[in-house]
Amino acid sequence: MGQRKGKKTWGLQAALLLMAIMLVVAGCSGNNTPNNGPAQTEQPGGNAGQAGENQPGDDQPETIELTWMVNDVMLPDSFGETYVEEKFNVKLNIVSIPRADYAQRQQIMMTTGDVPDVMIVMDPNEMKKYADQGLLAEVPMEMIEQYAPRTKAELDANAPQGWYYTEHRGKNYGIPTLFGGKTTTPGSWRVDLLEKAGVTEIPGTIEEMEAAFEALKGIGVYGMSSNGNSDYLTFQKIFGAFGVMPIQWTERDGQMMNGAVMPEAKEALTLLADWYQKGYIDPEFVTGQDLGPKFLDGIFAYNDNSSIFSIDETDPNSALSALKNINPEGDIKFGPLPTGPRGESGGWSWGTAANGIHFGAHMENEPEKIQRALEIIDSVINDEEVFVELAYGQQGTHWEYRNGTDLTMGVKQLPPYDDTVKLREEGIKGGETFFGGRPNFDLFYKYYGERLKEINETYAGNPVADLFGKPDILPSAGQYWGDLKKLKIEAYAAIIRGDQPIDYFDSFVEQWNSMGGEQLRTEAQELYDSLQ
Amino acid sequence: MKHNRFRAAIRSYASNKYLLLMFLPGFLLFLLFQYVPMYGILIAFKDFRIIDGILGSPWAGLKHFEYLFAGAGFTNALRNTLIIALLKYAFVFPAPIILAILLNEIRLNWFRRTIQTVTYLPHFFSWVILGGILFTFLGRDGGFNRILSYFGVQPVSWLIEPSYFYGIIVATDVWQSVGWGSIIYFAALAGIDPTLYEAAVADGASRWRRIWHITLPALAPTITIMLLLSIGNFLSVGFDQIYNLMTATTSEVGDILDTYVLRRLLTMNYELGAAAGLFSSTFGLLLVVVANRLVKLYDKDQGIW
Amino acid sequence: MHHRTWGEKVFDGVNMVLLLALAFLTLYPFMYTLTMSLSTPVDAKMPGLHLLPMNPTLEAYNKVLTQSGILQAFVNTTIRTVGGITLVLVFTSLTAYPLSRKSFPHRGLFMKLFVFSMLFNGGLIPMYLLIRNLGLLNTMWALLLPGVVTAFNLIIMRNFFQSIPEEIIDSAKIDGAGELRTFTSVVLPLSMPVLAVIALWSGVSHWNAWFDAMIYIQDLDKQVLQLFVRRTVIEESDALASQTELMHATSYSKETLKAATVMIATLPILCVYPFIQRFFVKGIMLGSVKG
Repeated sequence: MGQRKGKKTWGLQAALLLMAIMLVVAGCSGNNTPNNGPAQTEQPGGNAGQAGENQPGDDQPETIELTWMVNDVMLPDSFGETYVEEKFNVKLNIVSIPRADYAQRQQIMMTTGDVPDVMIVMDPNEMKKYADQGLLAEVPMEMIEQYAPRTKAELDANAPQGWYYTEHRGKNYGIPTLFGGKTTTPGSWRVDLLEKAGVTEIPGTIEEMEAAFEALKGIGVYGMSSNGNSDYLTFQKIFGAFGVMPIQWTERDGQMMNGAVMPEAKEALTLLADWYQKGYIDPEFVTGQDLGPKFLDGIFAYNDNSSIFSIDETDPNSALSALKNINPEGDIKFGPLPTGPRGESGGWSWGTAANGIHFGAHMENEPEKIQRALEIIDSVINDEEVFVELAYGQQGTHWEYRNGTDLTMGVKQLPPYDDTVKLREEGIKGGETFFGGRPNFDLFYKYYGERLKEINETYAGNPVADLFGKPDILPSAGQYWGDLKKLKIEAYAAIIRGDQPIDYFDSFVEQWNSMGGEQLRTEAQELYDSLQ
Repeated sequence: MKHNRFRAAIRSYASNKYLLLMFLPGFLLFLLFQYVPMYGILIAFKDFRIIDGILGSPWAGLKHFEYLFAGAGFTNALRNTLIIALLKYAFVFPAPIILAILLNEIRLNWFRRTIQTVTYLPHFFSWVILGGILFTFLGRDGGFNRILSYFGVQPVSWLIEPSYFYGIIVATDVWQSVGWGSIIYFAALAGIDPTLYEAAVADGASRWRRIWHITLPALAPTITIMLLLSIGNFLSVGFDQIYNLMTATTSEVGDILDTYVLRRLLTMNYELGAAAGLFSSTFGLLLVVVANRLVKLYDKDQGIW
Repeated sequence: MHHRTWGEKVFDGVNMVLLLALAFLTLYPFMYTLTMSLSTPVDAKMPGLHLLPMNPTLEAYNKVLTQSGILQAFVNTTIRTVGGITLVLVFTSLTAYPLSRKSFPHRGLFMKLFVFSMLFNGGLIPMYLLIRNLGLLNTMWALLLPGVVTAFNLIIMRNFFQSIPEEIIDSAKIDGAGELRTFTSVVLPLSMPVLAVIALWSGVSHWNAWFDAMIYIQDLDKQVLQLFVRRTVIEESDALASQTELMHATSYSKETLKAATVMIATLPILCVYPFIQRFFVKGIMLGSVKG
């Protein structure tokens, strides 16, 4: 056969083969439509199948079966699962997915028809997609009022932005979870370096900070660093001192605004650029890397984002212990949130609502299941005994008072449950529960302990949260938010480093608005107005 | 005429029936797992409704492609991607070949084997971890500056300077992949008849001439095929690497198509992901076809088909 | 014996120095991670190169290895890797060989199909549905079967087979060997280097794979090792999670745990290479032909 002829036939045969493949595909596609039935029937290899059958008559008639998807590894028949089953007379089929895999696994399962009865959705934007696709059950406010009254009251009082997380196109699709209490991170100082530079008092205002930085410069230490590669962490405490928190939505006289483009942000940037130029700021702040080691190494003296456990000398692994280990003279102390020219201060906070618990669309036909789930959620959030069992476990087995006598110092998990992984395998989440997240504020503070509460109030007492909790939950946020974050990170870094003059801020604002910032502002306004 | 051709095909399969039997099991598995799910490509042209499935969802035309190309910074991302891709072909692609040749010149067996083993280690560390190490090593107070200070070089924060970014991307990619990439060339070198070298030495050929006339020709088919196999992924310039090395000052020069798409990829936006994939794949296919044609012009026995 | 000139000695010296420098650089991430994994959490927080642990401890390893499920995951990953290598070698070589024979019809078409599949794929959802419809969800087969014959391996192998001189194969046939016999007793022994490379590639990719396991495997006792690595490395960077972690005073240093997990997941596969190397000795193929 001639070569040229052969080539032509290849084209034909390729087409035939592709057609054959398309036929196979078409044949398969019949199976592709996902069935939206309850997950029990679809549950891959799970124990769900058997569970449906073992409903013997001697059980109480109101035993309800719930497939519940939780975001960490809980072993089958764990302490927590058994506790809920006995306490609330339900049969739970736990779909337990490690936190790192949760969002992706949930998306695949939802997309291919394995919709659980009850599930945490970790990002409100995912919830809105699911709701859009008709995968979630609507939960009318009256139902929440009736079956989870205490939680509703708590949300209304302490975390009203939670309702933004469960709302979509005017309907409510679940119950928000709490993220109490009101927290930001404290800032901490290398007081040994301050002393060495001749500063005796921990700075409390921007002016005192500036003086301290000048003195520190004299001994070859940068004043501060920050995570300059982050959309929200960059010099958060300095912006807070100017009464603004970039990239959060905030309200001024009924008008929605984004902190990133407010005039106060320009003020703060002016100061930061000045500080940078004077050599007070570690130029490597733009990487956002190695902040911990550099702080311990004495490269800079003010760490604007510390853990509240970092100066706990009783913890051999805390930052302070690590410092003492390399440098016995070294010392770290928390400082107050710095106060700005108008007496303002603040640090970033994620707000008091965490995310939402939602229900598969098929549950709309089984309202009694939603109701039972709501009752369980209401109970784990508000009943102290239930909360403690599911958040810390049993006293003496899983936890004990930190100081041995009472809650002043909070609680500590006992070995081997001081390892979070082991604790969670027991169905105990540690500080919060798998079935309702964190408790109401009273319970939260009670078990948080006086000591931490005091640190929080003294050094991190002014958390600033987005009006909607998370700034990216607006309808078109997905389209613009990524670009806006990138624009903000780059522009702020350029201005602080002096790569661009301060006036570049105005052109940054213009870009921000034209790249979707204005569109999102309008949406924020609408959302805000609609829920007032 | 057509009928004849069909019969000829049947006959040629019949005469190769044992080969066909060897071929079919693997080929069917291949079709099943590579081509049956291929209809998913259609999602790039659809408004995906989960309830309706991919095939039942309404058509969306080129909407997703328009959205993909219209976003702020697309041209910048495309330009960066092309620059990085070209740089990587210029420096990263030849590196394992050079390493294989240099190692081939080492006489000490244990030395050669040790170097082989050590150089392939970084392949096993993810860029999250390598990135962390590099930020420390290339930082102002890091090890690299300490070494340079012996030569009187002033310390530089290497990873925050946009002008060094491409250089670092290329150098660290070589560092991470050179050992692993050279393995296929070691295999090719194993095919060289040692008597060729002996004869060349006897003829008094210099080291360079031996490399040029024996080693390189022996590697050529492997080099060609590796080039053809990799060029389809021309626009995939190493998302993990760049994502983990980017900072606030380098994100303008480091923004590539993958990071650009990631910024737009909302939850469950399968359509956009598919559209972006289809764009890169089509571009890649074009390159493979052209490259294969060029290779065949040079030597008609080479090439993939 | 050949007498080395002065120029060649310089070349050898420079070459060795260059290679040593490269080896030093490429050894660093390994040494760094090893040191971190053996350090106390406090030492790990310290600045510096971390080339040697100051107060070596196995505490982090102890912590990682007592996680429930990790030993099972180790076993699963080993089975997966061994099974994966076997399947890939058998099916890929059987499929590649006919494509290397000039007499095999429609070779060009088949090769085009393979190349096309390398660039285009249907994405996650159709693949998941296929795996589910085949009843492979939550089984090891979901991890093994999809990669049994891939274009990359196949093309590399076919090219190697093609480079075997036609006369060797023809002479085997003249001796009366059938296709399969020619393949197993002539072609395969000549192809040890490429088989070793493909074995290494598919072994390493099976060992390191986690995404498919994350998607297709539900049961904890069927999980693979790399998912543990991913969890330890990822959780660190989750903003909300780290706020939740603040609730626990047990701030056991994540750095050392991360490093220990990475070492545990990496060391076994690293040890494989030296065994593969013996197939890269010069003249190994010729030996088997002429010998």
